[in-house]
Amino acid sequence: MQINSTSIQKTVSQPMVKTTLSQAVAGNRPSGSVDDIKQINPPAPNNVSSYTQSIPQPLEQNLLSQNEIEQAVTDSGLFEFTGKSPRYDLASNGTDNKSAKIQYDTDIEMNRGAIQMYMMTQHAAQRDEIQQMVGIDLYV
Amino acid sequence: MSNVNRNNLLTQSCGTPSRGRFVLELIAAFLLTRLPYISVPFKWFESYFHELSHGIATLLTGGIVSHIELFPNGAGLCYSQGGNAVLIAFSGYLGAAVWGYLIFLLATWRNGIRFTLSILALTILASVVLWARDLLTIAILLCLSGLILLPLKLKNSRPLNSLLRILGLMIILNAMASPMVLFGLAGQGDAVALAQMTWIPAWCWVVIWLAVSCCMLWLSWQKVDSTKGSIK
Repeated sequence: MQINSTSIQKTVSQPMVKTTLSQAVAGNRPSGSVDDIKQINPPAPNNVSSYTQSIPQPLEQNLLSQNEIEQAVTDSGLFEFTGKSPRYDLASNGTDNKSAKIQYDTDIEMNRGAIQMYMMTQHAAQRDEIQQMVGIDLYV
Repeated sequence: MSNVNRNNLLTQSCGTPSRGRFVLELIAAFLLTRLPYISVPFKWFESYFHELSHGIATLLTGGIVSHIELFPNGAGLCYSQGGNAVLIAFSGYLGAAVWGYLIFLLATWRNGIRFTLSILALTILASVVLWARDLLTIAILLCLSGLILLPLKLKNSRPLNSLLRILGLMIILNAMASPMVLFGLAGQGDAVALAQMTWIPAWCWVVIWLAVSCCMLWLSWQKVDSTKGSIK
């Protein structure tokens, strides 16, 4: 039994970390701290009915700590898209899984333009510099 | 055979329109360039010939064309390396108007209309192979070649001449209207680039392009006028 729970922890804990990182990319997406995740996904002692509910209590020990997640987000530099600190992203909380998913999907559409704009302006000066260096001219 | 009949036969063989027909085609071209949605592919034509002219000028002045980009709103870009920058920048709007006139002229050649349309389509397809590097540009260029090739399905050649003349007039009209947009643009466009290179103000270049487009339209009218108003 212990072996089974350990295997579940390994498969489930990895996407959770990834989700937290991606939340930092889009500022409006619902995000939560490790404590929030605990509240959303409470352990189901008897009835395992859903993906989230199937996470047993010892999983918390295998998850990264809040500081580690924040450090990973900071190191990745992804929160620059939002202009907010990673702590802010992690502090904002989606209370309900379903509504959080809807908000998640909607906000991807909303943020697409902003991300596109960011990609266009990112390193624009360096691109111009390279264009000048290699002698590529642009005619409109 | 009377003179009128002889004139009619001559006109039918060379495909030159009468004055009245030219005016009708000009009105049709003007309306088509103003209609929303329908005008979009015809803006692509002008945009394509604009960028093609930049490309040809680059090659003629010893440069290399990297690629061209076309956008659905009628904008376009030509990435090149080397060549005479002034000539390349100037050739865009000039070339579009000249291409329009050339297409109009070729459309008056009735016997060679199918050959002309095929050559135009081949030119566009060659541009796809040589200069188009992104999906959007490729899609737009394939659309344009399709539009050129589609009328070839018609068995009667007479409408083909008329359609191609309207296309040529639309390109001239668009070439006339496009530089006007540059008046509203600050810090971008060929006119600004030319102003930076030559110290001649941008509006002077816009006026020159407008004059060239008007000249091409007048030359088209002269082509019609030479038939002395034959009935057709």
